[in-house]
Amino acid sequence: MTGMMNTADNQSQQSSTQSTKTNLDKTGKIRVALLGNPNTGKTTLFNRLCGMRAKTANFPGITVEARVGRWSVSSEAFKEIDLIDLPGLYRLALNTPEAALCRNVIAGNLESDATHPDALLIILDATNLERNLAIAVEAIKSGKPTVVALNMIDIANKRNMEIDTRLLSKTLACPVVEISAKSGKGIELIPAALNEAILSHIPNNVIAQLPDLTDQTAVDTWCNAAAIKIYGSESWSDSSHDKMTDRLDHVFTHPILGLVSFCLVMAGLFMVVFAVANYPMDIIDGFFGTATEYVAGLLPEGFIRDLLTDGIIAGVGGVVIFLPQICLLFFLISLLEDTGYLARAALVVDRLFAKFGLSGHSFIPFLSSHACAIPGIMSAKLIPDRRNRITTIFVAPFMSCAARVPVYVLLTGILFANRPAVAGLVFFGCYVLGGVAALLTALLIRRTVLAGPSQPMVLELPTYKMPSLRTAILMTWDRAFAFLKNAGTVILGISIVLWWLGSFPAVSVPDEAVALRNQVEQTVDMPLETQEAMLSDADAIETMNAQANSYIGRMGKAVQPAFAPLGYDWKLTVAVLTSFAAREVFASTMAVLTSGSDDTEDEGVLQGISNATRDDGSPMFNTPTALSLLVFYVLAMQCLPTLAVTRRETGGWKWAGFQLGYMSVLAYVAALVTYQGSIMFGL
Amino acid sequence: MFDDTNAVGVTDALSALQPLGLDLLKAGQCARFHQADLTCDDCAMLSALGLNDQCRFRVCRSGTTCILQVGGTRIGLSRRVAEKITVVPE
Repeated sequence: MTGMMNTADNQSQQSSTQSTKTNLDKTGKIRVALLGNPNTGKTTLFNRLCGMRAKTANFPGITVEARVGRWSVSSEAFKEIDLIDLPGLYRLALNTPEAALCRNVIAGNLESDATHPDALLIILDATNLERNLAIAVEAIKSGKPTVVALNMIDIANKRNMEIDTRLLSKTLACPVVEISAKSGKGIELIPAALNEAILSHIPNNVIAQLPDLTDQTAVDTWCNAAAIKIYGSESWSDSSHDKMTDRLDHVFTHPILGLVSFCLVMAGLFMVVFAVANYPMDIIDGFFGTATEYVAGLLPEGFIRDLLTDGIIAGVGGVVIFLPQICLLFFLISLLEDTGYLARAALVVDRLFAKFGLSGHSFIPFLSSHACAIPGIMSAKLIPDRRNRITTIFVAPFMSCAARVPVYVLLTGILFANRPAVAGLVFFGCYVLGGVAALLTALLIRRTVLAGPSQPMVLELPTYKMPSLRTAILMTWDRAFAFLKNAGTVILGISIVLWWLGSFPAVSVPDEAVALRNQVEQTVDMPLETQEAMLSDADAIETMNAQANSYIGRMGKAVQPAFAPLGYDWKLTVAVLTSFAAREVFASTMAVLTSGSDDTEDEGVLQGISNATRDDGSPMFNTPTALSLLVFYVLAMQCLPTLAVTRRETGGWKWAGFQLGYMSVLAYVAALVTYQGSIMFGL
Repeated sequence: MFDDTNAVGVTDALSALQPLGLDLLKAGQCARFHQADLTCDDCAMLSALGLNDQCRFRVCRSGTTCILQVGGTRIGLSRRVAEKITVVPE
C-alpha cells in the first residue's frame, strides 16, 4: 500500500469554481506548514524535501525555533512549495509556547505574511495512530486545507499492522498519503494531495462528526475508537512489546549502569570531537598562514596590507580554525538524538538534577549549551516549570560552549605544549568546572530567589533506531553556516575595529629600534644571521611601542590595575575586555595583538600567540596566568548575544543583569584565587 | 550491583481492582490509569502522551525511573510523578 493516496469519497467532488485565497493564484507556489507529534519523522521529511535550501526562522515576537525551506516540485499544480517546519507537539490545545506558536501560525495571527500557510501537512506516525490522531483532528477543525502524511508506513508494514488508509481519509475528510520520510517513498504524491485539499471543501457534516475539542475525554475516546477501526484491532497488546527496547532501557535507565553508560557516551562524544577535529584544524590553520603570507607578498607595505593580514585574516582565522570542532559536536549530538538515547539520558540525569532543584528537562538545554548557550537557552522554553526554566536559563552559560573551545585549546596548548594527555585532562576539567558551577548555582538559586517545589518530569521515549546521516549532516550544515555567518560579520567587524584601535594613532619609531637599524646599515662585515636578528629585534620593539601607545593599549593600561591581581598584563586585559561581547574574540584579539611581533610571520596563529611576550620581555602566558585565564573563561559570561537571549526568554533585563553580575564576580574571584594559589604553591 | 527495578513489591493481597500508586507496580505488570494528583497542565500533557482515562498500559521499568508502554508510546516518568498517579492493576 506504500505510495498510495486516498481521498474520502464524499470529499472528492472538487469545485473548480471555488475561490481559494492562496499564493498559487499569483505566483504558482503555495506555503504549507508541517505539523505533527514529536518523533514522527516530521523534520526528516522536511530535510528530505528542502535539503540545504532551508534556514532557521525567527518569527517576529516568537522565540520558538521553526525552520522554513523551499521544495521545488515537478507537479502540474505547483512549481514550488514553501514549507514551514513547526515545532513538534502533542496537541495544539496544550499550554506551551510551541502550541501557542502553532496555533498562531495556523490562524494567521503573526505579523509576517511569510508565516501564513495556505495548507497544513500533518505528519502522523502510522504505528501510533491512537495518540497521533488528536492533532490531525485539531488541524482539520481549524478549517485550513489539510493533508495527512502517514509516515513510517514501511515500519507498520514490517510489524504486519493493517491500516485502512481509505477509512482514515474518510474519517478525517482529507487526502491521506502513505509515505516513508526516511526512504522517500510516496512523497511525490504530496503535491497532488495538497492541490486536492486546497480545491476541496471539507463537508460540514464530517466536521460535525469529529469530537468536541473542548472535551479532552471525548477527544481521547474518539481517537482510540477511530484507531481501532483503522487498524482493525487494538494496535498494541501485551505480547507486542519490543523486548530489545526493554533490554536497552533496562541498561540505559538503570541507577548505576545508566550513569556509567551516560559517562561513557559523553566521554566518547567529546574524545571523538577533539581527536578527529585536530586534522582539519591544522589544515585551516595552515590555510590562514599561507593566506597571510600570500597577501603580504602581493601587496606593498602599508595600511591595506596591515588591515588584511593583521586585522582580517588573523582575526577571522583565529576563530574559524575551531569550525571543525563545532561541526563535529553538532553532528554527534544530532546522531545521538536520532538514536533515541538522549531522552533516556535525560531520565538518568533527572535523578541527579532533582538534588539541585532542576529536572531532566534541563538536560537538552545543557547539552545544547555545550555547542552554544543561545540554542540551549532557547530550548529551555520546553521546560514546563517556570522556576526550573529560569534556573536553567540562568546557569546554562556555565556550560562550556564551542566559543570557549578556542580559549581552552589555546591555553591548555600553551600550558602543556609537550604533554597532550595532561592538556586533555585539564581541558576536560574545564567542562567539569563549568558543570559543577552550574549545578551549585542552580541549588543556590532554588534555595533562595526561586525557592519552591519543582515540577517533576514526564517525557516520551522515542523508539531506538539507526540515526539518519542525512539529518545529522543537514543540521551540522545549518549550525556551521550560522557560525561562519557570525565569524564573517560580528567577529570580522570586531577584528577590524580591534586592528584599528591597536594600530592608531601612529607613533614615531622608538630610538632603540632606529639605533639597531642604523647599526645594521653602518656595519659592513656583520654576518647575515646577526643582521636578521637585529632587524627582527628592531621590528619587535617598534611593534610593541606602537601597540602600547595605541588607543587599545591606552585602554588596556587604564583598566589593567583591576586585573593585575589575576596576573594579566595590558594585552591580556585588552583581550578580556574585547571578548566581553563574544568570548571567542579572545583568540582573535590575541592573534591581532601578537601578530607582527618576533617570528610570528613564519609560524601558525596559535604558535604566534603562545610565544607572545609582555612589555618587559617575560612570557605573556606563565602557568599561574594561564590557569587563572582558564578559570576566568570557564565561569565568565562574556557573551552579549547570550545576555540578549536571556533578557528575551525571561521577559526583562532583571535576570540578564543578575546573570552577568553573578558570573562576572564569580569568574573574577575564582580566577584571583587560582592565580594567587598557583603562585603560593609554586606552579 | 543494586537494581531498583522490582525493588518495591506490590502487595499481592491487594485487590486487583483497588487503585494504588503507580510507583508500587512491578515491571511487566499491566494496569489501567485511574487518576493523577497533578496540575492541570501536567494532566493535559499526560493525556496528550496517551496516559488518559481510557488507557491500559504496561510497566516496563519501575523504581526511581518509571517507564510505561502506552499503546505505541513509551513514556518516562520520574518517581515523583509516579507517586502521584493511581492506577488499577490487572
